[in-house]
Amino acid sequence: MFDAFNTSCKQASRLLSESREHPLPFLKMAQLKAHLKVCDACAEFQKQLAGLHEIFGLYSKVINKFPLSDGPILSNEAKARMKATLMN
Amino acid sequence: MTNSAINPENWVEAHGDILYRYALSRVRDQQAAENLVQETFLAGLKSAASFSGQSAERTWLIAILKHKIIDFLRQSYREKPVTDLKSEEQSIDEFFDETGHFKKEPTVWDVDSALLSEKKEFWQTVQDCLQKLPPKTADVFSLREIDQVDSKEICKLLNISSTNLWVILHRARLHLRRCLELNWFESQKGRP
Repeated sequence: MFDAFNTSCKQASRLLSESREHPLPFLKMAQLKAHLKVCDACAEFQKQLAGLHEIFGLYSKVINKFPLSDGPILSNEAKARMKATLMN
Repeated sequence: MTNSAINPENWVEAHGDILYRYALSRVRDQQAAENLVQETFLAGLKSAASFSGQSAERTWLIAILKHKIIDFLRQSYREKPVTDLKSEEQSIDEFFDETGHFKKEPTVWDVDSALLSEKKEFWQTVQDCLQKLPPKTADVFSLREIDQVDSKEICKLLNISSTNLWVILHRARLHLRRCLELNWFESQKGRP
């Protein structure tokens, strides 16, 4: 695939990831925008970064609502220890 | 309001396992996870006045636990700072061919939060993918995307440079996007 300004997907995807952490310098932003215009894979990667953000934003809410039957649980000893500590 | 809702013995039975499972998924050490749960209960007891209403009890305890986990990570990285920048750089190469193209090209995902929230199997896949990351990489990513601590704060917390942080986050994202794509969005499991 033709790469605008010879930017590779490897470079562009790194800039996309970095752009979620801080505003990119002007030239890097221009380089990235040019690449995104001609590269479907990176355009999709950009959406997936937003998707990952959405998914992991839900993680701590969701992970706590499913039944515990198959998850690790506290041992009875640990529970007894905690109760004893809390009652003191 | 009265303090009748505050019943520490009940906390252990009602929330202990759930807090423990969350703590364990973050710190990967049974003893450390147990300690974090206990500290959470103790902190909850001390600040019981700020607790309002039964329905929010678990959410409130989880919020305390999240702070305890961040403190735990700050302390453990003070003793063993993140230094494997070079290996993170190298591992980024794994995701691309010699010409710099994705080895596994990103495809369209159907991210429907409401629907995914209800799918236990999806969250199992998410957890499995997270656990395949090197521990430090998983810690950094989790602070950023699960706890939503901002980049500058994470750098201070773990005593790393921003460049280092960006590389680690990028490596985590490359892995997670490929792992979720292969094991969920493009697999049988991801289909209704």
